[in-house]
Amino acid sequence: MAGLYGLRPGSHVCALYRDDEERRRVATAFVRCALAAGDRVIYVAANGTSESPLDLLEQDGVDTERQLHSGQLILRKFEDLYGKAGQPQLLPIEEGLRQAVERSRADGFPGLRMATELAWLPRVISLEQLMRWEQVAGRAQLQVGITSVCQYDQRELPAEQAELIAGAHLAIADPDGEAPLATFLATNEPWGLRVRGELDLSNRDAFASCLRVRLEHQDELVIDLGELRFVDAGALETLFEVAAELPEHGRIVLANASTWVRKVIDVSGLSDPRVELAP
Amino acid sequence: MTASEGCVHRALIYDERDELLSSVTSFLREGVDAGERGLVWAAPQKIEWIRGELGEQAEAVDFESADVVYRIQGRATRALIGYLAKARGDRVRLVAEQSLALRTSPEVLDYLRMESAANVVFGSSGLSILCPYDAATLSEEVLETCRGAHPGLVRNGADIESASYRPPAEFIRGLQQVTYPPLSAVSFGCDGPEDLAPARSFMRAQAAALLLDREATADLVLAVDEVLSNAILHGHAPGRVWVYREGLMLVCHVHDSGPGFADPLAGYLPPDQDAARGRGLWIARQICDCVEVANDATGTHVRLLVKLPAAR
Repeated sequence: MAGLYGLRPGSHVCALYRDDEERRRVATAFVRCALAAGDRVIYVAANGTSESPLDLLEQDGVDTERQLHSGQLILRKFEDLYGKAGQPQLLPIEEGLRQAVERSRADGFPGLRMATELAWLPRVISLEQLMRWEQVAGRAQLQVGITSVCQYDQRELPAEQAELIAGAHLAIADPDGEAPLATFLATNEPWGLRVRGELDLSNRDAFASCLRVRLEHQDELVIDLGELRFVDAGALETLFEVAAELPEHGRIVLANASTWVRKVIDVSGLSDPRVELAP
Repeated sequence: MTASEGCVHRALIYDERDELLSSVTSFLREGVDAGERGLVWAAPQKIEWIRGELGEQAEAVDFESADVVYRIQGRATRALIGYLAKARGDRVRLVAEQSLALRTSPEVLDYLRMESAANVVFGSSGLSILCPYDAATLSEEVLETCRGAHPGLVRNGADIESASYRPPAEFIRGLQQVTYPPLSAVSFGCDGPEDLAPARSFMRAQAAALLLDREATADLVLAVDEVLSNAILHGHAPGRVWVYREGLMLVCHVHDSGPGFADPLAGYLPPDQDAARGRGLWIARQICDCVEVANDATGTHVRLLVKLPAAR
C-alpha cells in the first residue's frame, strides 16, 4: 500500500475499492493530494457513470466549482480521451499525454495528475487487452511525469485478475493516509494561489514550485493567505527567495495576511520591495 | 575615549544613585557636545532622574522605557540595529540598563551572553555603549560575569580596561551548560519534516495545560517549530522535544543528535551577519524570555523558556 501524499511524479498506482465509501475516499484523497502539490488533476469519469465525481468531491469538502473555474480540476469522459467504449482507441497515447502535461505547465501548474475510473473496462475488453493497455499507459505516464490512479471495483474482479491488475501498477493506493497539511489552489482572477492549511518544512518546496510555475505565466502573483492556519519563517523565507528571482517590476502580493503572518515576517527580518502586504 | 569605527562598550558597576547619575550624564553630555545622538534605555524612574540631571541637554537625547525595550530581552539587539539605521551614520551613544534583579538567573545569563555578542554585532558601528549594573541588587557572581562581557569599565568617573574581559565566542561557550529535562517531563519525538505538525499539536496541548495564553502559545509553537526545523535540516535524528515547568517558567527543551552550532554566537547575530543556521535561534530569541544552547556527548540541547502567566 502506498500513501497518495508524496507520490513521485509519474507514479502509476491502482485503487481496488470494495464499496462506494472506499471509492469516494480514494477519489477525494487523490484530488486532495494533487491540490497539496498545486498540480492540475484530470478526473476521467466512467462512461455513463451513475454518481458524478463532482458530488463525491463536494461531499468531502473540495470546492469543485472554484477549482473547475481555475482549470486546476478538469472533468473528462473516458471516451473523449480514448474513444468509444467497446472499441477504445487505446494506442498510441503517449503523445496526447505529453501535450496535456505541456498545456498544464503553460496554464500554471507544476504537475499533472489523472484519476481514472476503470471499473467498467474489464467488462468490455479482454484481460489481455486490459493488461496491455495498463502497461502502455503506465509507461507513457512515467515518461511524461503524470501521476495517476486507476480505480477498479474489486467486487467485480476474480482474485487472480485483481492481482494481475495490481501487479501492473507501482503500488496499491492507501486512501487512509494522513491528510495533506496544506492545499495550493490555483486562482485566475486575480492570477495567483490560495493557500489553505499549514506551511512548514514538510511542504515549503511544494509551495515554492507552485509559486515559480505560476510566475512563469506572469510576474505578478496574488497569494490569498486568508485560510492559512500556520506558517513558519522558513516557509516565508522560501517565498522571499522566489520573489528575489523576479525582475524589478515583479510582485508577489500577500492578500488577507493575518497579524500572525505579519509577525513572522517581522521577527524573521524578511523584506523585499517585490513582496507586498495588501492592507 | 572616542570611538573610531569600532564600538566602545563599557560597564558601569555602581553602588549609589549619585554615582550612576554623574557617570551617565557626563557620558551623555560628552556626546551631545560632540553633536552625537544620545539614547537611554532605563527604568522609568531612572529616566526621570537622568532627564532632571541633563536639564536642557535632555532635548538632544531619546529615552525609551526598559520595560518596553527589554520586555523580550532578545529583541534589544534588533531594536538597536533599527535605531542605528534611522540615525543614518550619525554617531550614537547608548545607555542601556534593565532591572536584572527582577529576572530569573537563566534570563540574566542569556542577557550577559547577548551583552558579549554585542561586541561583535556592533563591532564596526562607531557606537558607544554604557551599561549600568546596580551592585546593590546584583550578586558578585553576576557582576564578575558582566566584567567578562565588557571590554571596558567605568570606575570613579574614569575609563579602565576590564581585566576579566573574554572574547565573545569564548565568553559565550564558557556560559553554555547542559540542563537536563526532569524525568517526569512529557516529550515528543521529531525526526523528520512530517513530524513537525504533530509536534506543534503536542506543544499547543502542553502549553494549554500549563495555562499559557493563546498568543504566547502561538509564539512558543513558532519558536519550537523553528528550532526543530533547524535540527531536522542540520542536526541528526533522533530529535525530541520535552515540555516542563521550571519555577515560573515553561521550558521547551529540544534535543537532536547532531554536533550543534559551530559558532557559539549563532542566534545572537542578526540573520544578515550570521553565516548560516542561526535564523531559527534568532527568531526564538525574539519570542522567548530566554534561550540556552549547549552540547554534550549525546548532541545539541536548545532550551526555550517563557514566563507563565503568574509571572507576567
